[in-house]
Amino acid sequence: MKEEALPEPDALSEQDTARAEGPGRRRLRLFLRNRLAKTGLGMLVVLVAFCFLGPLLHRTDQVHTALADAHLPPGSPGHPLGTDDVGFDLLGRLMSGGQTSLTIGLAAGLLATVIGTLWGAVAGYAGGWVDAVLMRIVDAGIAIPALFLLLVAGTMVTPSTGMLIVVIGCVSWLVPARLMRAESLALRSRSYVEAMRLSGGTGLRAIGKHIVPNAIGTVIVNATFQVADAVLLVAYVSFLGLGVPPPAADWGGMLSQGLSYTYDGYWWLVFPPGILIIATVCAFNFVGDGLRDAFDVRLKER
Amino acid sequence: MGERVLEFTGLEIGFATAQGVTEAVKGISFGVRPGEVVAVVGESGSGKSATSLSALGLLPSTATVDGSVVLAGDDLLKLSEKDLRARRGDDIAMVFQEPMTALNPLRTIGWQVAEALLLHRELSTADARARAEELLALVGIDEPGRRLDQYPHELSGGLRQRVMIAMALSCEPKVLIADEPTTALDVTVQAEILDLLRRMRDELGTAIVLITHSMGVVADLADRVVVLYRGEIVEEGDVRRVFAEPSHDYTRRLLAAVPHLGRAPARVVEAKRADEPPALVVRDLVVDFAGRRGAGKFRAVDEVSFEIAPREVLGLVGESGSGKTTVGRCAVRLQKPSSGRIEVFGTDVAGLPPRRLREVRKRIGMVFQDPASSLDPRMTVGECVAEPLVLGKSGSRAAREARVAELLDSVRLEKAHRDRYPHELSGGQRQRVSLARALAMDPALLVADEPTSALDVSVQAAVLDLLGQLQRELGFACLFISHDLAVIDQLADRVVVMRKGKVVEQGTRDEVLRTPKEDYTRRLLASAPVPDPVEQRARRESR
Repeated sequence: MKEEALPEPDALSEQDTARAEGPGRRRLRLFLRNRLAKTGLGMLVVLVAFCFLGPLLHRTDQVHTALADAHLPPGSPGHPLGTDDVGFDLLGRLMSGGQTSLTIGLAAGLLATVIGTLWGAVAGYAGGWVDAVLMRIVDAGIAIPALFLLLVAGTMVTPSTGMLIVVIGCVSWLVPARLMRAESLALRSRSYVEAMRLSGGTGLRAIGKHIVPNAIGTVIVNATFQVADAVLLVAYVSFLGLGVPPPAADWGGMLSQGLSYTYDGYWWLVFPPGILIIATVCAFNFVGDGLRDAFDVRLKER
Repeated sequence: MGERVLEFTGLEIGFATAQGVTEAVKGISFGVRPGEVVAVVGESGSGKSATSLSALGLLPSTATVDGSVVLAGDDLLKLSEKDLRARRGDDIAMVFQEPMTALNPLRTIGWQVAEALLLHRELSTADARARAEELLALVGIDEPGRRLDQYPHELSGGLRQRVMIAMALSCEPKVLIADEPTTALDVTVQAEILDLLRRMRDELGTAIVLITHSMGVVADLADRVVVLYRGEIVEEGDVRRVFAEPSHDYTRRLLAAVPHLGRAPARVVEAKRADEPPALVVRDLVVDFAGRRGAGKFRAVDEVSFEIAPREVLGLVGESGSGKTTVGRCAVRLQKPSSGRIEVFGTDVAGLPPRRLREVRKRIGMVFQDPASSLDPRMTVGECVAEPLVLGKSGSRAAREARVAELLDSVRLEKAHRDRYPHELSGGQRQRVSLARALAMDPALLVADEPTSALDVSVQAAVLDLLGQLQRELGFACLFISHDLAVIDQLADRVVVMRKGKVVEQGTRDEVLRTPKEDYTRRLLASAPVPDPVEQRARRESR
């Protein structure tokens, strides 16, 4: 009886809700409003195009050395950025090196994110001794410097792209695991998770269907930072001589080789790879910042 | 009656958002005289809080304000920040809703009460402290001298709200704005705070603007009522006139929606059939929570026993901290009991292994309190409702789809809602979805933990009606947990009253709510304000 007398408040709010935009659109709008994020996205597109499409326009031989052409300065005919100490065209080398760096960075960052997310989600959801054991392992891992682990791993196995992905992924999942555990801890006591448990759902479903999807914002944002970190880590290990073996190249290794010639004035061997590393890391960080704004529902729109 | 001490004229407030300016208040005018309580009533989004904040210049910077708010001859909206600051706390003061967050946890009570005095009056620290002690005594705090050196966390919610009122009264303001001053408090404490405000009005002649959504509070305290609806005044007048003969349709609907303690229709209680096991038996239930290190255990539920027959609605009432929610969570085994038996249709669930528990849980549905967290924000309404069906592996995909449609229809939601996401729904709609999900597996027992306490009254009325109707149609037993006696009165066949973890009284609804035997139940009943100023006055005087 009252049901008929009182449809208005609910019915009216329905009109309001019809205008509301979906979560995806809202995020896209918030992301694109962040100028830095747009810049980062633009930089990424340019970098990827440069590394993967560039070789189609600028064909070079990155397998056979040409010692006669070594150390040509930028602007030499056929070599716009000059050549390195064994005569590889630098522009072409930046492209193929970038393929390695970006591939390893992206794949290792994603691997770390996946491991960390699952680890943390299980720890936070299970609680009790499972949580204690899982998180102490993480603490122990964080206590050992990642670079040290990388160097040890680098001396034990022959570095290759696949190997570097696995090794870097396996040392950098610790931080995402901690982040995800905190999210999971908060989400597991939400009523909708309890309601699902009441209808006979298992922990696996709670994690897969409710906890991870609801923490996806945090996970994605962290993944971008994770990729940036991985790109840097590749640069570190290559710089220390444990990167992919020649004739393959990557930016960190190029930087390392170039540094031996700084006193000879061969600046073009140092700056281009260095600038590209910085640009990549910055681009991923900018995108991460933008995504964080886009996923933060608490962010007040001004 | 004297001149109006505070007068709002043509007040308009807008908030700038990404979608453009939202008008929260659309040109309202009213005033308050010394020694008068004007209640500003409205549901969420009616603009009542924005109105009160504008008088103190506390609106966020995104707000645009038009019109005038005149306090004793000065337009507060045109004062400079410095002049306004001199007025705030001195001529006009405010009591906030949440007494915990409104007090600074790092400062003593004495320091906080004296703060306004030191700012507005030329007093020595010692004099301010003496005055603070007087004020605490004035608002009815015992041992005021000792309280001065205590910190907010050492006081109960009711005491903290008294401190807030003492602070607001410290400079004897002409106008006191009380924004939902009792919403966060238990009914017995609410009654005390309302008495205190009434005494302040009578003794000090303070003009009080009372912002509230509770018709019971209005009936208890207000002299005049201003009813706000979507930023406009739809009705204004003497409290008795508005309650007795509301002239606007919205006011009538609002009043009809408020559950009235003691006026619920009689219920036909079915005779229990001997061959059926009870839906829920709770025997000597004890729940201990581990305290902080060194603090020992905290007993949340202490030897609670009751039974729910099939098709019966049991109302579980209690104030905050009474353990009622913990009992509800034990019944569905979201909380493991420390000792005692919990039988659901004859099966003891207390020590059941997970696989067997899953079987029993299929016969139980649960509706949670907070509509904001009861649905997964990343699932559509249809997916939310279908989840128990998917988990219960019932039927084909098409059969599930049909069942979801049927369920949504039974909670009076449209087909179009199925593909919406929870954030696109209102609070009332979300609770309906929750109800549909709880009913998906055709449970024989429904546990509802304060399902309407976060909703506006009109929405609450609709949800309660729906719940009652479905209960009669589907015949499930129901454990209905609430702090609101009027709601319990409307819905329950039998009532259990809990206090500090123990059962105080139980019996049929009429026994417990009409002829209570225990003192505590009587006090609880007397404290709950009824939405009728005449009746409420009589109740107050007989208290």
